[in-house]
Amino acid sequence: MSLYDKLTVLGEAARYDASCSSSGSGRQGKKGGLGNAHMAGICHTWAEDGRCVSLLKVLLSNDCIFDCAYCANRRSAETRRESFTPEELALITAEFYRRNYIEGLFLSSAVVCSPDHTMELMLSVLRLLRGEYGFCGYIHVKVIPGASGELINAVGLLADRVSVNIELPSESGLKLLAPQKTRERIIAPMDRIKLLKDQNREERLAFRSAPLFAPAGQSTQMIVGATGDSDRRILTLSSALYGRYSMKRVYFSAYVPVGIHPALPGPEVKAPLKREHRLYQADWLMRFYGFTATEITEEGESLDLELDPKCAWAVRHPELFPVDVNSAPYEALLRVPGIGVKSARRIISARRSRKLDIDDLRRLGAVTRRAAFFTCFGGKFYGFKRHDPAMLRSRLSDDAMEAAQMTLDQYMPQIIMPVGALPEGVRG
Amino acid sequence: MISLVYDGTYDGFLSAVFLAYARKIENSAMLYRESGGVPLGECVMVQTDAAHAERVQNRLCKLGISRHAYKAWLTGEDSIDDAVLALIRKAIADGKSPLGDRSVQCVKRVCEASDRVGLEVHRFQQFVRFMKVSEAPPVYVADIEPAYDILPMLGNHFSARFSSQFFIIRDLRFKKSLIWDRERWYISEDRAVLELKLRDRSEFGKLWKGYFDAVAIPWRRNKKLQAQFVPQRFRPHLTEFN
Repeated sequence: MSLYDKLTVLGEAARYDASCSSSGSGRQGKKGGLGNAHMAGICHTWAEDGRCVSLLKVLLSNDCIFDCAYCANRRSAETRRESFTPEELALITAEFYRRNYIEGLFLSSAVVCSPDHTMELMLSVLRLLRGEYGFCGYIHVKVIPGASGELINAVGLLADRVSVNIELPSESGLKLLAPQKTRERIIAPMDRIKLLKDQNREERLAFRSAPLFAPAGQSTQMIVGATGDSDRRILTLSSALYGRYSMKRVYFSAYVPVGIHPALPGPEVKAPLKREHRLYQADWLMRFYGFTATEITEEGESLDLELDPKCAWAVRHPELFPVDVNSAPYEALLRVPGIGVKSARRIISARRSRKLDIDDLRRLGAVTRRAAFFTCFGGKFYGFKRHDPAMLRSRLSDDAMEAAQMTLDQYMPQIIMPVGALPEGVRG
Repeated sequence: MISLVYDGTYDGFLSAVFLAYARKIENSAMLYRESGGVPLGECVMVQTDAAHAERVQNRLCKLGISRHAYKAWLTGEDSIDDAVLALIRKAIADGKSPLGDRSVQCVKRVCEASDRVGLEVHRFQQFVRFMKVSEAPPVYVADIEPAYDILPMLGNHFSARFSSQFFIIRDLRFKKSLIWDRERWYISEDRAVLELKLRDRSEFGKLWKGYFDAVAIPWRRNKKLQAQFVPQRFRPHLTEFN
């Protein structure tokens, strides 16, 4: 079996893992070694589906003993089975890195023989890279549910980020679709990683030279749309994960039908891409904008697909708006649709020297198409006279925003340049 | 209105700023690069003076605007020199950095230009692709065609990362190369380096392309999104697109 075949098969098998980040680790390169991590992370290219390729994301093997109904590599699926030897994978990683194709390695695997056996194999890849190749680039390792604590510790000492997939938002879903995985077997490694990371922090306070344990923290991922769980449930769960396990990221992956199973949506159901997008927006609101899961969604409900979650929240709360740009605190500015973290900071710093108006707001980088309805400037308000949710919704929906963009794009060139002034060949 | 014409280098620009202040014409002077043609009206040729340039540079550092000024200047856009001069004037008049308030015209102009240069630097941290052109000693070569002259800003990034391998990044647009000899990096304008025809004989380019095609999820295909992140102008030198 050629290396090319292995790489394409195992790359294809790993592509449903949503995590792509290479950030959060400041691992410094050593003299004579290879690589140097970049704190902010670097994407090296974008595949045809528009998703970034930052790390070499592959499975060590796709020869799985588990039979999870939602997974393309489940035992009962008819796919080609391939496995890398640790030497092959370490070589490919180093050679790709040297050519600046990638930022590092994202190593995951199907469960071969047993969770511990699989982790041992993954560990040997890491040892080769960090030892023999002197590799100081980024490494993300997916921990196999049910792996032993010692192995998790050993992996964490070599990797930059470790993660365990929570897979499904509820235990009942797990029982139904992934019978060999249990909540305990998934939660236990997360607990373990959190514990080791906390211990490591204290060690490093005492001894500056103590080895780092997973400097970029842990993350997790869940599948959206395979079970009937509401967005409310998904968001409260992810907020608990951020709190309890200090997760760096919770990723969502829209379920794509890969097999026939009585409890799963059939092949006629389209993957809920829009819903995945809304969940990420909500996730951002929780991480950077000070929102809680209970504010963003109603009890037992899912997110509005037409309206982004921040606009939807603002439309539900007319009593809090308009916000005065010239006096409102940072926290209140952050909650205005059309104002983000950057523009809120710029507003705070710009308004120290003078009063701002709506044109300043635009110049500072806010999206005034949205913000105009929720802000005022010393008594001046550019929104609707009466609070009318239906009207607001129609102006703030994705379609309306896209249409506004379209008309601009279509008419702008004609306004600037009359048709007669266009050079030969451009004229329609 | 007096036009100050300088030699097109950044030191020349700083010397022109120095001269404008020395003659107390900083409010009315217009700055021109020599290559841009000679302007109408009264015109003074600026002698580039390293000592003057350094004095201005130190002042800009103290005011905290030197990086933005340099990066904006690099774009070489129309009237960007005047915008940078306006920024310097404002900073010196206020005695502090005006960069916090983007609603001021010259600040916005300079910040946006410097952001574009910053993005270009970041783009080439992403999109440089090395070829291994020799086995012993291992030498890696990459070609780029950037929109701005950002080659010097890649030196630290790549030398920290590939300290153990010789590498050359050739800028085919501005006709210079960045060379790392495992001790230090420097910029060379040697034409002979640029003209070498080189290729990677290993199989890893092919492996990378195979991998790149395999990881795209067919039912999520979105070439418009891809084109936003990887504009066409970068693709000729990207292994995976050829």
